[in-house]
Amino acid sequence: MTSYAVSRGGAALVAVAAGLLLLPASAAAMQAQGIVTGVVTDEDTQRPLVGVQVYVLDSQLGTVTNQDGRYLLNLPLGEHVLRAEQIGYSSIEQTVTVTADQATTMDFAMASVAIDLEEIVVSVDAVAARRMEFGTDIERFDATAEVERAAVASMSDLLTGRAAGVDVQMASGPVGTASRIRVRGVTSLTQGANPIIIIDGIRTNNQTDLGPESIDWTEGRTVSRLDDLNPNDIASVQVIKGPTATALYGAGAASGVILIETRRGAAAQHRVSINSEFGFVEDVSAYWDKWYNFTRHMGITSASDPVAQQWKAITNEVTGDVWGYNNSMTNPLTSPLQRGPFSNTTLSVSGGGQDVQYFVSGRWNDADGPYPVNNLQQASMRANVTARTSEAFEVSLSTNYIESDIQFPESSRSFRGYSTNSGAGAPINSFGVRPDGSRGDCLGTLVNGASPSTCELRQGNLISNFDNLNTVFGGQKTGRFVGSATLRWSPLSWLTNRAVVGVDHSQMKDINEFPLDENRPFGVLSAGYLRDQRTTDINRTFEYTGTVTADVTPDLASTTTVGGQYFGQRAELVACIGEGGFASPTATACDAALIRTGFSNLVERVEVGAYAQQRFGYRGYLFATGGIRFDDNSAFGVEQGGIWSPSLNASAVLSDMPFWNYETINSLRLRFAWGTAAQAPPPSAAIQRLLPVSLEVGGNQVAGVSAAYPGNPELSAERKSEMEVGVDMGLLEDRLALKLTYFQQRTTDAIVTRFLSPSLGFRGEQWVNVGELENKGIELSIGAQLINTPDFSWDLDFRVSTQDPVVTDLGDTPPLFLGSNRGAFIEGFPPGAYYGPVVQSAQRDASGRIVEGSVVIADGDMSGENSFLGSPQAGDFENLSTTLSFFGGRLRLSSLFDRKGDVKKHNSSDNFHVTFGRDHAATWHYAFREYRMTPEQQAGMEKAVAGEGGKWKTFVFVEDGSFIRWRELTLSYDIPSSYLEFISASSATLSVGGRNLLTWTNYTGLDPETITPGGRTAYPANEEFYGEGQVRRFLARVQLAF
Amino acid sequence: MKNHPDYGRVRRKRVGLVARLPVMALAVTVTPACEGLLEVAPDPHYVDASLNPAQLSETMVGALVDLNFAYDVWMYETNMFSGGMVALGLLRYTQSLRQQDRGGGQAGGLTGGGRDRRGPGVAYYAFLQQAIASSHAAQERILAGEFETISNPSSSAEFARVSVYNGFGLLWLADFYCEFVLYGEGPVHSSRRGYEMAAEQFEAARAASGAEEEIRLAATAGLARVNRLLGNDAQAVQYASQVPADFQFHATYSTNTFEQTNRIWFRTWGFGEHSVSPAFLNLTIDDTGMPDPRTATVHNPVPPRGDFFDVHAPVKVPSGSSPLIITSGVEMQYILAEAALGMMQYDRAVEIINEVRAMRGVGVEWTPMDMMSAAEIATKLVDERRRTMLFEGTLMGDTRMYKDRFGLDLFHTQVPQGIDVGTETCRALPQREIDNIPGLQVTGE
Repeated sequence: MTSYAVSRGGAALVAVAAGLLLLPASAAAMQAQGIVTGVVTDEDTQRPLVGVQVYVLDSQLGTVTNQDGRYLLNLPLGEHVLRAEQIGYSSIEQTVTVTADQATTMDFAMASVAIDLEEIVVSVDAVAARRMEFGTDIERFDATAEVERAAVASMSDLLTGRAAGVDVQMASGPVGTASRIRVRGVTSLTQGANPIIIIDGIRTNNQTDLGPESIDWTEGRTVSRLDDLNPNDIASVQVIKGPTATALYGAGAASGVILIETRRGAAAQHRVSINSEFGFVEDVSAYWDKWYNFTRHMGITSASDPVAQQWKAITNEVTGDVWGYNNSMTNPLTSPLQRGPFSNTTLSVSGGGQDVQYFVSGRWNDADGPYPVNNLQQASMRANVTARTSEAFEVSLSTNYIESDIQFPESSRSFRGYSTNSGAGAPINSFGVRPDGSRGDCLGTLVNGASPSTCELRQGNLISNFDNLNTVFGGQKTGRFVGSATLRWSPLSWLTNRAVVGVDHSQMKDINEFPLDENRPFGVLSAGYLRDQRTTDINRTFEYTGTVTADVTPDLASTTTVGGQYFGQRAELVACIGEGGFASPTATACDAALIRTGFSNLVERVEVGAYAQQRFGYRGYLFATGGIRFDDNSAFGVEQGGIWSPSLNASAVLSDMPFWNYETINSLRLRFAWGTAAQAPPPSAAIQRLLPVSLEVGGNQVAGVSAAYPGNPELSAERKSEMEVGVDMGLLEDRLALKLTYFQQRTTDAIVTRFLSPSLGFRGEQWVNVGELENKGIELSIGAQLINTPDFSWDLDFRVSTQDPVVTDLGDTPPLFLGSNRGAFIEGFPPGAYYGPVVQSAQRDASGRIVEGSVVIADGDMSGENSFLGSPQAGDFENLSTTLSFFGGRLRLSSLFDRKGDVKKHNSSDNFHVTFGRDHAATWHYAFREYRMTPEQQAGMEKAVAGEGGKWKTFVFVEDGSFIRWRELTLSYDIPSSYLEFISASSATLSVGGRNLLTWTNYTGLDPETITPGGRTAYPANEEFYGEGQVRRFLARVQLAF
Repeated sequence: MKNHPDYGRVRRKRVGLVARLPVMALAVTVTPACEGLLEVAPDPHYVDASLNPAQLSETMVGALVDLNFAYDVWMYETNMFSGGMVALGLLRYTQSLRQQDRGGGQAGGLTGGGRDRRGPGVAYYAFLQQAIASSHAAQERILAGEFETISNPSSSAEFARVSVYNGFGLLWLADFYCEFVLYGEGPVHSSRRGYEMAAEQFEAARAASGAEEEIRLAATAGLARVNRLLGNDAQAVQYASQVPADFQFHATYSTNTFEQTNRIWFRTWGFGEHSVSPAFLNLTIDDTGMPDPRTATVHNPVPPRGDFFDVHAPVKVPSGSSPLIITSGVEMQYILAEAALGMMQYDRAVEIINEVRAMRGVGVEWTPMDMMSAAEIATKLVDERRRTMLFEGTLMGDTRMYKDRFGLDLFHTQVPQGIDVGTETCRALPQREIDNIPGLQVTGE
């Protein structure tokens, strides 16, 4: 689909909107009207509340309060019931009589509540549904408030630490790098665990493995389309976990759903906002020192020797050897690290009248990373329009166009990557640093007379100095359009229809390029290399929902919903690779190369579903819901057909029941939910596939086919069932909120790949349904208003969530051992569990050598000689956030702390480089400060070096990956309006803040959060292999409103 | 803050159950309409086997591609195993597959070598098996009369060709593996049995009256090699004498691999992480000091990494599209020379050595010293053969044969850092076969 077609699509949406707007004016407009206005304040602090929804019951008429807490409505004459709603406050209803002769004033003083059970949440129903009516826990937060409060630069930042059970896994530090999101852990052995992303009602691209492919390894630089979104455009984020997710979106929702609603305008509130922030990022990771034994190679016996001092020599206290080191990432003569400046500005205009509201914004984001070849530029435009032609009909349009241009350093695992070159480098190829800071001797020249050009070329790196690495280009350019239209039609008071249609269309250009330069030591790549890949990804959504509401009896309300969904995804790829023979560094097209290879691919997938749901509400405090859903998927095997997924949930608000008389507990709700979901297999997995091949015979290309994948006609979806029970409680005059949820998941027919007998002649594996997993955990949220006075307030929020996934059955499939980086899938252990033989005990003599015969190998408790070393998935997550407000809320200090615990991380970086080279510090020098190992670890290392296999290193380098990170700190000040008169601004806020400020961890590698494969693996791997650490960010922000 | 469009309690009205039933029924009646919506474009990267059975040309080309790809991988892996190539420092874990085998897994197999327990690591075994399965499937389809253009299947040129493919696949498999299975079922076969099966395939190819001359000669050469490996020297000589000295049967570089170039070139010239082994570096002709062109190498401009080996790339394989020789008349000449030695026809053996030297650009003839013993001439012949046949598919079999038959451990090469890579000459049945073939008895023959 070309950009021309995209424009046509966008134009069509605008035309529809224009047509609707030209429809006969609403009935309300035909009637005589009057004005209702007022101010909404906090009952305790008397501060005006911004963004409160004030609306008329039984109608779609409403607005939101402005910066002064004021609202204004044009209503038909007569009596109306007005309702004021705001997240975190108890809703209020008041009756008002509208007259024609003068404006009617109606103020609201809202009391804050710990648990807002009246909060409207998005559900499958076409009509509004309140939190209290659902038996499942739904996390929802005000994105606008969070963006204003904290140092949030991306959607990944926005989701971090704000919802229990949501784990945002950062891949690596370069700007533009994707994160991986997991909701309640991993629920599949092999299938992607990315939650579904819904933006304004349509499903959008949720991939986290996009980005330029490197010529060899491709991990480390992945892009997520989620980070295309401008956080300033987001109104709210709702995370749906568990059974409710499946009832909404069926197959694929097993990993959860993230619902994003973008901002709309408000009636009678024409507002212009400018949000501008700037700052810088820096990489403060502990990159690797590479050590060299001066005593052994050069006979130097004193650390004060002027030669050795060029490499900061120290003496090993056990052996007396003198060691020096080089760290090309931090060496001032060679370091490529820099402070990367960024600026991010959003201009938005919003407002409207009674019947039409709009929100328009534009954003420019320019960020440099901490490396010379890392940059992100984004431009986005959004236009949202909501039009009400009558009380019964409303249409909402959302359009968003984004262009982004990301440039990355070479993949972290690549031998042309920054960290790989530095970490796998050798001091012998480095220049020393003299006391005056000038460049010293080439160590190779001193040791064996090597030419100084060797040091000049490498400067301590594996292959090349950073100047050459900077010429390697990897990047992605994207043009993306996301558009949706939502129509609501309520022809009868008890019948509401909603239809949603939309498209998410991305065109991506990924480039990996080595410009021609014979002087660079990149082997054949020095002759030039280009991979140019163009991908078009289109996601189409259509959804219809019809809801009937009725009172079965005066005490029993009924809501019946039926609906259907269609989701189609099409990804088309065309690429070329050009190798060698480029005429010049600027002749960079594929057809300028000597060797040209072209290829293409197409993946198409369709999901259809239909559902019916019945909910009963008894007296507004007891609710029970039952649902049934049917899903079919183009990826299911021909013998599978569709699947049915039932669900049940119940909610009881005890505090609203007549018997309730406990003042200490202001609100108490018990809830229960159960449901089933399915995860579809990969497209085409069920089909036996042949690979088209070709060969040159006699100067002609001839075509053939080769057996590729055996297929499996019986392949079906993974089935997951989940049960959760919970309690929501508000205490101490709603100053303390407590939410506790226990969940239990079971996945059956889990899809695994079975490696067939190779002699059957298929290269590829077979996908089969054999596995079972279980997972359980708790989610606890505690929110406290510790102090709340007009001059000072202090809020505290604490969340903890746990998970405990286990593989319970693999059927006849033997245990899957996928190597030290991917772990094992074996019954009784977590998916992707780390494994390896373990040295149970060993003794070391005074010289640092392992005593012969002292090594005792532990009996394997997992399989054969292998023992369980730990899980790559965190067992517990904790967030602590706090906000202090001074001077009537004018000055605010916010902070967020993150913790992940009970997790192992494979330090593959040290595993890889520490045992190469002659200087096996880890094996020979236990007391050496860089490699302090226990006798058992040293014994394992020696077995590995002696040729008994790298497996002996796994237990040494699978480390405790727990950490606490000071994630955010922000100080904001609202400038008094009297100072803003000269610029005619209605409000202005200044903020300064930082992100990733400090980390406390026992992990000895680069960064406990960096996951080298990033989004390019579905496996629950937690491996660091020469990635880049998380960057620290400092920013200053100005927010102006007019 | 947007004005939430979904808010508001709709005024409720009593609606009877009957009125709600049609709405609920809609959900369950829409199901059949879904099927049409699920039709998607087929994956263009692959062919759905159920929809598109391959035609004769596609089948033949597919079998040839599989053969070429298997040979490409096999050539690389066996040279790593038997010492024709080495990997450099940072990739020392692949520097010798022998080392890796011995270090991992439990002892097993006929030679005591470690069983390959790695999942992805059986890739080269799987590629060989695919080539064998692919050609076998082609044979069966031809014999079943599925191709109308073939009137006399067992005599057809196509049958002869895929029989040769199958034969060489079996030969290479038997060279590398002490034990293996075929087509997903037992029994476990020994190397010897593998050679015998290869011979059967070569015989079938020769028996096809429609066989092309190139195929017939390749089959004859294959029979010569197999019989030599089996110790049937007389038969080996008989077949070798039927192949012209200038005959060459080539593989072409792979077309459906991630590299799309032959691995010998890619690993040495391209990627630069492997080198021709020190055992073949800087060889000179006799005592002349002249470089031996048969093992000439070029120092890859990739700089050395500290004290590890430099990269030396073979002049013999100058590009990614260089055809790799599967078998040749030169190989046959060496078989004849060995036979001549066995019959004490020393002059004839020397004559062959020098004829081959001339064919391969060595401008100096070898003149044995007076009173040189037969064993010394044999040693010279072995050395000549290994130099000439480098990267021509015989090193693996030679390694085994010379050790098994003559007790010679000629290619036991020390790798950098003094690591001993062991002396085993073949690998055990991969664990994945045992895991996936129920009841398989792993006893060997």
